[in-house]
Amino acid sequence: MLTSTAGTGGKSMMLEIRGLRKTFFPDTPNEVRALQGIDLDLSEGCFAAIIGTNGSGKSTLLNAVAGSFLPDQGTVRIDGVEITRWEEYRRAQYVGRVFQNPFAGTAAGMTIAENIGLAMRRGLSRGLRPALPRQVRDAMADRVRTLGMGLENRLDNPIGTLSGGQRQALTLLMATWLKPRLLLLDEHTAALDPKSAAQVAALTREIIEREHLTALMVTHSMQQAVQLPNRIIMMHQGRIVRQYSESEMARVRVPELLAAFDRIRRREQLDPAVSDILGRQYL
Amino acid sequence: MKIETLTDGRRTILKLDGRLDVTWAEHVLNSALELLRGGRHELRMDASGLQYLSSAGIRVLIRIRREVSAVQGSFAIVNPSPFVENALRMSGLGELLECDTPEQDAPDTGTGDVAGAPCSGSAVQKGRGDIDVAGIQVDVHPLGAGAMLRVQATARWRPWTPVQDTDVVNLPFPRPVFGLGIGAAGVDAGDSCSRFGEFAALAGCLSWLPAGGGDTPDYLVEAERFTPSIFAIQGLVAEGAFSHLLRFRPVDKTGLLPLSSLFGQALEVTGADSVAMVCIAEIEGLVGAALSRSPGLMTTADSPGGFPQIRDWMAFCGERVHARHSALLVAFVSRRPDAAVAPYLVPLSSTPGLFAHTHAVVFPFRPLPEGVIDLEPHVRMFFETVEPVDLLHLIEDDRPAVGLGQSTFLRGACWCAPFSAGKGGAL
Repeated sequence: MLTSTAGTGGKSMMLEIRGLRKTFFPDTPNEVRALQGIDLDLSEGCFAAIIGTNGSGKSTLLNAVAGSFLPDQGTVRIDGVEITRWEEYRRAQYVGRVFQNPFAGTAAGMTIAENIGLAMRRGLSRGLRPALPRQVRDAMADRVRTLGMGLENRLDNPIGTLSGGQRQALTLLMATWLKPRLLLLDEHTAALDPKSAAQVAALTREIIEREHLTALMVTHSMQQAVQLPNRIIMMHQGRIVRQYSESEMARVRVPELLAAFDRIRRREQLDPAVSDILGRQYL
Repeated sequence: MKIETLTDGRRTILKLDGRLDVTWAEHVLNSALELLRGGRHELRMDASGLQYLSSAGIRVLIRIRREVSAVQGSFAIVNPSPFVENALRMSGLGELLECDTPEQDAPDTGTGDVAGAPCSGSAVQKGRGDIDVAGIQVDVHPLGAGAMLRVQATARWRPWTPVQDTDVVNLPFPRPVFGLGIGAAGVDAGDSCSRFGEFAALAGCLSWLPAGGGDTPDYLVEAERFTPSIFAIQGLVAEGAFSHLLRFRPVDKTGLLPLSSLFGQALEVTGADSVAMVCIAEIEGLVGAALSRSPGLMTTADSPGGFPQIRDWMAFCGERVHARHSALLVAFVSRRPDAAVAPYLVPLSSTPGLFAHTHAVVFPFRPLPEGVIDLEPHVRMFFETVEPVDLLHLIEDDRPAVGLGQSTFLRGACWCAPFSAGKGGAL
């Protein structure tokens, strides 16, 4: 079992996970041991990608941090505060989140400005208030302008009229508006066309670097995994099986990640019968 | 791009129709290499239908010429269009045009003098015999009557006991020595112990797979006063002269040579009970395993030999691997192994009564010339032109129904000789 603490560089821990376990449908034929003792530390400012095969537990880990369910065992701390038993909505003050579905993070019938208005009060009490003051709208437009999509001129348009890429870019902006202590990205470019995916990926890196955010990104794109983050965490069958630290990231390329997956696959093929052969034929 | 392959006696003509640019360069290269792979070493490229030739295309022509030269074949462009002829002449490659190329006689394959036997220096071809294996033609070339190898087990660690300081032996591999085992090159034994993995050494070239260091073998090549050496915990080392060279190739599409058949051929032609061999061969499929964690990291609390713990220490290929690559093999095989080497040879399940130990260094495919060739320059060609991509301890997967079987080869050259086993220590 690997303890994923590489690359912390002596910085303070923003995310600390200890012994996290989750089994779905326990004691049934459909039992799934989704998380089997995860230990993971992310230092402040770390941008880590989680990669793994289908069913490896990467999205489950992200959901466990977000509070989508309660773990069977283990603890989750964000910025030193234990949040293991907190409800999902309560974690919103610490956690920003972007989903795979570009339509999931916004209210389609509300305007861009109204959606951002909600994001500006994430984790805070929201009451009935007058329309957005001019200076707030101006600040909003300035921030939206950084996306480079011309959306600052369409603040009063319903967000449902935007393309998937535009909407996901706005969702990313909204999720980071209040500089969350931890940003969770759940395959947030997977549903976009290649051009929009590349655009949102570039924005992701830009915003995380500019705001010095701590982020955990689940991705199936090996290219993104080697290009965007400064750390890679590889999962398989509910465990962290390999990680690439910040220093290793300088040389890691897609073929090496594919080779690592191949090693994992071959490890599975070393069954008791092969073990017996090696016992007889390996010196 | 349309490519047509025509035969004109010994010559094979690739007739190109279209544009040889970056889009088609690799395809054309692979088509030529495929012919070389099939033993067609007299290549001509008919460029009458070639409308355009870019730098990427020229690069491919240069690469084809290099590959053909490596096997003493010939390559030229015939019937070039004015554009192609001009492009080649402007690039200083006019000699690629057939009209500028002196007529070359096809190399005499298999009857020329041998510059030197791989292990011992010179040797003389004295005769030739053929052996038929199903679908495979094996040509036997005697190299030196009565040639023998001395083999010693010079490092004697065996799985799975923690490695002691006294298990580690520094083994040099000058050109006349070949061998296999487990070890790692490094500054000293302590520096190497975390990276012990399989190694194979031949012709002054040493390659090893550092356990835990990824999937890529590292290597050392002899140069001037530098002799490759390795800190080994297990090693079978041979020195002496080879008695025979076997050349094998498929005679039809079903022709494959299983490793155990190659062993059988070597034992038969040498008339010995124990044979050591090195081989350069095109792979049809390898079956093997390798350490994934160094035995030097073992503690008394570890028990890597059992399941599932073995998964942390060894990697199994999982499927037949490295088809259409080249392998450098080092192998020791015996019907009645001497006590000195018996612990390091394992019984072959495919051939009861036969014991062997084989390591294979895998490279991207490189063709070999036909006939009698020297071992050393061709081994060094691999290390000096391409990188090794894997190193495996070959095994036979005899699981019922799902077993991968044994390693098989398509064509190659195998140098072998009977060996006598000595006791440990320096050769």
